[in-house]
Amino acid sequence: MRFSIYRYNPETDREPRMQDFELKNVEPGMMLLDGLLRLKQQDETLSFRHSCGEGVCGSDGMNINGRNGLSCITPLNGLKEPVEIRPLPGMPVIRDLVVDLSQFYHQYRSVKPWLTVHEPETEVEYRQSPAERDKLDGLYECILCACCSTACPSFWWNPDKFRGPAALLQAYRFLADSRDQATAERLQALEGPYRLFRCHTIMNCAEVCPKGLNPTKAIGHIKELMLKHMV
Amino acid sequence: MIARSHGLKAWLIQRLSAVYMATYLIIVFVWLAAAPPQDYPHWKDFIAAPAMSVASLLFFGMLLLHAWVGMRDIVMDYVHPYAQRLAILVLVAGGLVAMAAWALQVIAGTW
Repeated sequence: MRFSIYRYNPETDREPRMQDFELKNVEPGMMLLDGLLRLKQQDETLSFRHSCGEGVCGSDGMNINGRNGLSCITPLNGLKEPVEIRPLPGMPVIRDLVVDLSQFYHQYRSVKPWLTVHEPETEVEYRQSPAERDKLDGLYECILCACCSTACPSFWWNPDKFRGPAALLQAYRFLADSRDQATAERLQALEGPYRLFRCHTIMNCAEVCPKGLNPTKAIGHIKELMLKHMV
Repeated sequence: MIARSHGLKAWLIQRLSAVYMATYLIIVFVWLAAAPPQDYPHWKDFIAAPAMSVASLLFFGMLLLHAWVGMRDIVMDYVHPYAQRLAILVLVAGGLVAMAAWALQVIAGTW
């Protein structure tokens, strides 16, 4: 099986290049990550992140034949050859497929992804009905792999100002939480032309999310909430 | 123009204007299909009717507002240097205001 993989070491290379690899003995059921690990035995300078290998940690997000995804849950069979592997688009490259996600994490931190309670803390746990808990389904499962935000053209053009789909999904995850008491502050923090409203419903985020989540829908809910709070 | 409070407002203007324009166009097309004006005086009377004049003026107002939000979005996405952005926004705003004046002149000319 043939591969064409992005190689770049900013410390030594003048510019990025694509390197061809050949993988022999592809076994049925092999995932892309397994293939990359074998290719690394051929050339141990090939760099990429990986950890759990089960689509849970979100470390191995990369651009596979033009589409962002997790290498550990992408089956090798079915991929068009040569399989073109590039780093997540729009992020600074540290080396090969390893990108600097500082900007992404900064945007995530900006939406204050934790519960905020203004009332004095109670001595018992915060209770939530099953119906209230159900509202968090489709939101809490995000693994922060950055596949969505780095597939979003609005995030490419304004990564410093637009929160991006991953951070906005988390913003809604806390807006939708019955235990959170900072709805007004959260909505106020997302107002303005950039932070939320750079989303033009392109829906690349929902298209690539390896967990099948839909940030565009969450963004729509945030806009509705803002409207309700305005009138 | 790109103030902090202009996120939700711009979004709302874009949606409401779209709803108005779609409604206006459907009604006008149905109207015209049912009773098409035969000649220029009939066209003039059709536009000069008070309800139609107001609805049409409102339509062009909505169209230009809609276009402003859309153009502003494109400029905000792609044009980052301050001077270029300002120049383009001023040009777009000027063009849209001129078109508004033109639409007003055409419709008022039928009265």
